Amino acid sequence: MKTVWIYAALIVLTMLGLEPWKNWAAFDPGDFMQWSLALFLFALEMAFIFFIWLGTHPRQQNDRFPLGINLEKLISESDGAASFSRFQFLIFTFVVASGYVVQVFMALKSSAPVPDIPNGVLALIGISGGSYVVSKGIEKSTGDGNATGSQTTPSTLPGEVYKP
Amino acid sequence: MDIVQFLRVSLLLFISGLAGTVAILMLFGRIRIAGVLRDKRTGVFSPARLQSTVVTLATAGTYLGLSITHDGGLPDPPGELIGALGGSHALYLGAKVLAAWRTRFTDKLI
Repeated sequence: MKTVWIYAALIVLTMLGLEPWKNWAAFDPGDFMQWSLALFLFALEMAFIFFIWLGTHPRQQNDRFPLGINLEKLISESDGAASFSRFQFLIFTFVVASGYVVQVFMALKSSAPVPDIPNGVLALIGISGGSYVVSKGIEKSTGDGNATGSQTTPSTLPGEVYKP
Repeated sequence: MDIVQFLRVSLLLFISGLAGTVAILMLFGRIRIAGVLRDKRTGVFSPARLQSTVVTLATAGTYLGLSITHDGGLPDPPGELIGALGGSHALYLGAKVLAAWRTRFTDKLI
């Protein structure tokens, strides 16, 4: 088993272009640590997406992988109906996060400082988040979350039988 | 491959993979979106929600396009974009408040 790990480490180091057996003197432990952390982060990110797919995608509840991450109710209320406020908040989170990541790496490439977030973007996030909070406030104050109308939207997956 | 380049690719893969997975699961109906355009109380289709969804998607798409093509930091979104989103959400919340008051008033009458 130990040999397998040594081979795996050598393969990874070769892929990174470090080629440790050719020139041990040039092998930099700091470089190795940086790459190990980067690879660990990458594996963690891919595992996260993989487990989301395993936990949410299957049609039947029984087919779901027990360790999977189930996002079935990602934008649902406690009664199972989808929430518009959560939906729009999710969209803005993705848009601003992806835009910011792109800009941060563009800045790193040109050795510029990490970019600031403009006030306009904060306003967009504020409107989105504020709308979510106010919407929840209205629902709480009127008891809308337990309204009878919510039962008209069945909270089942396609292929499942709705059980009230 | 440079470590910065690797981190950039891996993070972009992660965010786009996560967004893509969520979008596909929504399209397949695995993430529940049933009822997102319906009024919670009555269960009927709500035009206020539809306009808010359209404006939200348009605003998000426009800003994403701006931020990807822009160089040197996140771009400041145009005032019209913020105004449109604010107005749309105000309309949605206004309709919600109005519906809640109307229901409360009707309940008192009954």
